[in-house]
Amino acid sequence: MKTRRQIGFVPRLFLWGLAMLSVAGIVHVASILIMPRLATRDAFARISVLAPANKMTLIDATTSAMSVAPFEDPSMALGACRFDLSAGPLRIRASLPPERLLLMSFHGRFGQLFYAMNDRGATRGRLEVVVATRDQLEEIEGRDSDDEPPQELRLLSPTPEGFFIARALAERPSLKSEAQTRIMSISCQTEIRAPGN
Amino acid sequence: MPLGPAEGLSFIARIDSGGRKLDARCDYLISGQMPNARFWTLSILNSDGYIVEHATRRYGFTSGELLRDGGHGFSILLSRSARPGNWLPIASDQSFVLMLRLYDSANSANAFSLESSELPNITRERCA
Repeated sequence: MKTRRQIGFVPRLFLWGLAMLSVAGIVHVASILIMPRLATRDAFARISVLAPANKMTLIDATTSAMSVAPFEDPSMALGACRFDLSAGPLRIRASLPPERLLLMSFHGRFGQLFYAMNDRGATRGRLEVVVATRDQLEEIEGRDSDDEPPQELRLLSPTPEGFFIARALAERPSLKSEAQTRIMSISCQTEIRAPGN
Repeated sequence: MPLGPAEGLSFIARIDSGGRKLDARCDYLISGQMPNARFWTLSILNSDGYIVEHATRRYGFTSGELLRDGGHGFSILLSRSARPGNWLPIASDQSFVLMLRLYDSANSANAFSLESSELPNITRERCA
């Protein structure tokens, strides 16, 4: 005699199949979502090989061996600064000559863009950007005085590690080294504060 | 790495205006109007997105260096062999792609505001 709780063989097989399918589905979706974070050849990994942390480094983006990513503009000089905020916020200082195109973008550890600007964002040819974690930003804001508004642009990085990319246009091939000089004149350094300051 | 909204817009062409795949054995004329931008560049890359080395070291043109035809229009000639005017050498053996970049453009915030008729034409000329 059958009890009411028993399930027949065929429906049981069906339920097992359904369970298997949902587990397989979850694994499939999860692996797709996690793939960009695990891929060893992502932009951050490639920059890590080419550029030390907290230092501006010129990158030849036009050949596959030295590139960070394909489909870069060969008319642009490209520089990258990989940052690690664990020792302190990052300060970027640039003095930008007028009417020379310079693009700047800020990316998190997984390549995600969190801020982009061009040379027209500079005041009187000077530009100062601070990239910081949430805690570091709060500390910086705590030091602000009321009568002197901050002169720098402050950015919250979504991850403690990330990278900054600067692209300078060489309007003619002969101006490529001038564009590279503009990239290398950008300073990109960890800001280390003396204790008690 | 894609450009941010304050940086500019990128376009890629893998086919000509007639819908045929860009072929290194053919010559092409790029002409017409350019959408408004502070600077633009047009460059040639292989289908993987890298340059193919060429003795002239010319891999593109920028808005600042083009020989113009007097008005707002322009023309660039793509060919394996040297051509007068704005000559962009094709160094690739097979297919190639063209990249157009509009830097610091008023359209940067919305790429969909551009009609394809506002972009330059890529006309196939003779093929080897």
